[in-house]
Amino acid sequence: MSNPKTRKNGAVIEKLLDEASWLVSHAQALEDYGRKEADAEWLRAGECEEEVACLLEGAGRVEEAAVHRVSSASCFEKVGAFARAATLFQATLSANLLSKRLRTEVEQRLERCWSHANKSSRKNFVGRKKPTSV
Amino acid sequence: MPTFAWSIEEIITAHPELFMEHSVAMAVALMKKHGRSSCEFEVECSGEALSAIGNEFRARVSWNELTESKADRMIRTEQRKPIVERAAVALAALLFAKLIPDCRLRVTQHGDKADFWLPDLHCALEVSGTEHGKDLQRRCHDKRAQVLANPLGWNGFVVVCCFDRRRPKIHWSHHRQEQTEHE
Repeated sequence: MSNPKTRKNGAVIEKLLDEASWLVSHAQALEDYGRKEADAEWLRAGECEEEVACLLEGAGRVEEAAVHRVSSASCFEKVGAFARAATLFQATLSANLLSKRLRTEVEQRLERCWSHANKSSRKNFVGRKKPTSV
Repeated sequence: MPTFAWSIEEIITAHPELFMEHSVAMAVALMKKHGRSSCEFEVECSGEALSAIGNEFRARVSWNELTESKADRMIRTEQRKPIVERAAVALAALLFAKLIPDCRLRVTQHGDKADFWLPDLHCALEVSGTEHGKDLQRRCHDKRAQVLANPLGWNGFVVVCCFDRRRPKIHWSHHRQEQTEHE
């Protein structure tokens, strides 16, 4: 018989999975309509997917966790949060659960995120003013 | 051949885990060229999990005036390809809501594409749409390979909707992972 705590965690995970799904589909719809709110919804979806991936991993559902981590990274990538996406892709790869085909794809997307993250960091660094000395 | 009559708006409440309003309007944008308030699809089914439903049936899908007005706006503003793909998702959601009881449908993002999952059945779902009857067979074949390559190694369903002006048709199939090992 499963213990009540495990059952409760399972229910929380299922609820969060439904919420993540709704947020992803809502972000897709806003993007289809060309609405500027789409970016904020992609961020919310990415955060929810990240949280659900963490809980799935804790519950031993590691393969599903990898799928949701890739989903989270994809949401962040869409809004240009490349450093965050790269961290999630890296975490997915280190779990070593992906098929060869998916692994190759995630590796390529990680490279792309690193490259974008580098570019935007360089731009931010050049644009940042040095503090004036007293 | 049995005929089922459903309203497309029913998927909004049937799948609370998905935001479906825009897919419903997109489906109506395509279906309204076949009829004033409903469109009849010939549905072909294959695969073990669908055997209880039968090999073929007709689905008469209707819509209300409010959805139709949204669909008219959609046609003016949206590109054709996203409309066809989202419309296919709406019809796939309708088939599952009506013929496979208690079956949740979830979506995850994978790059620029959406991956659909049926967690209660431990199955992945590939959905595709076309406006040309001649594309149907090839599309079914491609989607079958795609669904079985899902990262969880689950079995899969494929729904391909053809909004051909002369003969609207849906191909709905179920595929098991073992099939790929023997073929």
